[in-house]
Amino acid sequence: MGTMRILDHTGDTAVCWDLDDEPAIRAAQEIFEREAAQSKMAFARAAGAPVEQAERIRSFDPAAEEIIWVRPIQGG
Amino acid sequence: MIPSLRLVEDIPEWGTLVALVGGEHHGANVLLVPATRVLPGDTWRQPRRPPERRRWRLLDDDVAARAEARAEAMRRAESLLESLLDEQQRAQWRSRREFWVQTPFGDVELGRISHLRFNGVDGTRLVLCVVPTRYSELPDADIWTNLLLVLHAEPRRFFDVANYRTPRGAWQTGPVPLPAGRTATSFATLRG
Repeated sequence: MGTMRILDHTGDTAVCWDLDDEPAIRAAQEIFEREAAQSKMAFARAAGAPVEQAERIRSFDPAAEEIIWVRPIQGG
Repeated sequence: MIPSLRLVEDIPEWGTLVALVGGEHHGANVLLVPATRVLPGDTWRQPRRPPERRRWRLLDDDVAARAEARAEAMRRAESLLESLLDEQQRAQWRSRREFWVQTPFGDVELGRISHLRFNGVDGTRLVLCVVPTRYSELPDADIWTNLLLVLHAEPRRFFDVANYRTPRGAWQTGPVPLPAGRTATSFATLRG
């Protein structure tokens, strides 16, 4: 099962899918594209892996165990 | 002519029966009823607690629910951040809510908004300020998860947008002047 975690005021909102659940994968893909359109950055990692093993991704990978979405950054 | 009232009978639980004396309706009987029996909501049957108290109790419930939601958000954010840290960073975070991150250009300390210490590989000492957009919506730990991942994957981007100052200097807008001769690729090789 894959999980997408989108950072927000609740900590993060999780979107989950199973590889054999085509509608759930399509829904996750749509959310991926929606987040990407907001200039957010996606990172894929094996569940629980440290930051060194997190990889920047630019397209949805249903096989990813966990995708973390972070916001664009700016000078404070 | 202004009529006056003559008491006819006091009726317990009902009111007072009076007769009008003088005026257009002279002689008519009228039952005077306490206002609490006829006002909207039949107020005399309401609990004696002032309505303001009930409003405050509702607000208290709302505040408690929000506090619980905020606490849950912080727990989720803490858990995610700690899962990304190595042992040393996790120990730093738990002991003083800050941790150091190595980059090709030097070390950055995350944990204090508007006060990210940067120790450049050439000995430069700067203070940086970088935040995620609309960061005030996020639990604290999410802010550092956000910056940690960007710093890991695209350090150049991080330093490009950072505002910075020397330890006693005035703030300047980015990009941060970086030590030459290192690239993210060569750093990855060094760390590997």
